[in-house]
Amino acid sequence: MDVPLARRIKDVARAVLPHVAFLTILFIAADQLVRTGLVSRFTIPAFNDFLNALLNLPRNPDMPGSFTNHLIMTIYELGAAALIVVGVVLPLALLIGLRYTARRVFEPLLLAFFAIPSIILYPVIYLILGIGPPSKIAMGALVGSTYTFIYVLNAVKHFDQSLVRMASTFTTSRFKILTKVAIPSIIPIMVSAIQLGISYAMVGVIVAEVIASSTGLGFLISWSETTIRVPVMYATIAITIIFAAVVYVSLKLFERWVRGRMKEI
Amino acid sequence: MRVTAGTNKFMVINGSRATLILTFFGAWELLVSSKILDEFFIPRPSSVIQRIIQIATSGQYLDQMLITLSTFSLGLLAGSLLGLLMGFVIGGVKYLRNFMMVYVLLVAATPKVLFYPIIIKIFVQPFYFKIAFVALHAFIFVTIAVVSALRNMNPEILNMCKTYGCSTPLKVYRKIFWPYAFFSFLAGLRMATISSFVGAVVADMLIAPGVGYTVRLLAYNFKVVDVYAVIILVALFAITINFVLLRVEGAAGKRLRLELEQASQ
Repeated sequence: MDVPLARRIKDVARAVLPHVAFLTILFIAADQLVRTGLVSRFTIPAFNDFLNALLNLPRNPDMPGSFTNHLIMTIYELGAAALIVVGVVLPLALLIGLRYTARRVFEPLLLAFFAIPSIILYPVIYLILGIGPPSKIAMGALVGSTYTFIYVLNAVKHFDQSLVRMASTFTTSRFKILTKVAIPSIIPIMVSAIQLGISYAMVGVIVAEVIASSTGLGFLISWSETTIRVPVMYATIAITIIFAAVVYVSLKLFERWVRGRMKEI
Repeated sequence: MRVTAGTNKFMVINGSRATLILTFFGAWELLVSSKILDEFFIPRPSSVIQRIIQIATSGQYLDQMLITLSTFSLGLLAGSLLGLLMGFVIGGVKYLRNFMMVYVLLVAATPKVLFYPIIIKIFVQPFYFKIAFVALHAFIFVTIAVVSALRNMNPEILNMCKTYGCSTPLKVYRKIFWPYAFFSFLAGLRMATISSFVGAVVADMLIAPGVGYTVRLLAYNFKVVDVYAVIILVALFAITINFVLLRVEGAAGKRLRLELEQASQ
């Protein structure tokens, strides 16, 4: 049944307005703390300084390189890392996960690897690949792959093999069983794995940019922190949080869309 | 001794695992000794093992490891306690839960390293910064775990408890919320521990001293064998923590299940 438009607007307003009020109060309080001198401007910038820095980020002359180039570089590195995770690691994880013995062999090794903070391997990666996009892509792919592997190996344990067995009583065509039963039943696992893998690949890329890099949003945050450009630092953090949130929401919407399509099928 | 199918499978799996590990290290050693891999960037596993033994016996880098360990433990403790408190406060009140979870999930989806400049500006001292940074990693997982458990709680249980004399909020938290959230809290704590260790290493890489900083410094000075040796020592430590936590989680779960069974009889 369709919900009337007026009611829908009312529901949205009821959900959004408290957050708008909360954030407004938060910003005003922070601004007042800075203006009254209770909190130093080196800790939190005044609201108008922050807004000014945010609006002028693309035209900031002090910045090493243009802001747009840094943003593009982060998107490029994340895209490349995501491509490795989705195109290489995910099929490999499915291949291992769907075979009982292979899964039993790899699972404890991967669980042990999962416990290791992958970021500690970054110095080794940049020793081999140099401080540039390849090392950051590798770092993103490494972090994303670990989580993808663990998730897929766990999820396929619960994959209902009886569906495949039942299908094989109706048809002998392996291709048909694969395309009509096996692949559709593991699509939800794949979608969740993609979501997890890309989210963690982003963590890897940004951490790598912060620690040792000369490009990307993470580098900008690190640069503005060390050069004490506090408003620029907060503005870049805000943009990066928005970027992370957009990636997260897009992946969630993609997951919802696929699940919806699956229900229709 | 009779060899059953189970024993056979066990031997195949463990044999494959051992072969896989030995092949990996063997191939590595072979590739370096035949100069296909440059020893300057990738040392022989045999020299790394020798160096690990030297480090373990001489106590070199022990001070750095202890620093990381202390920030990790204190941060984990602070973050878990805060997360538990926050989880109970948010999870216990429906409106607050719906309102605040947006922010908790936003922080969870954002790479925590983005907040490091803000934490540095607030805490200034490296030691306090590191504790706060680690606590942020732990806090999110514990909060989400506790809130999720309380969200799925049957409201009938709460009503029943009130009927039987849970008159004060403290009694409700002690008799209902805590046992209900305990399992979830343990699972959250394990994730928080892994995440906190990552946080401790990242914090070290950002600001000296600590094991992360040591690895970074060694990499800058091209002391490659030491880099690998320290990384392997850290990895072994992380794997041990994860193993212990899995055991504790399993034992606590078993005990709780037994208690529940006894109570229901």
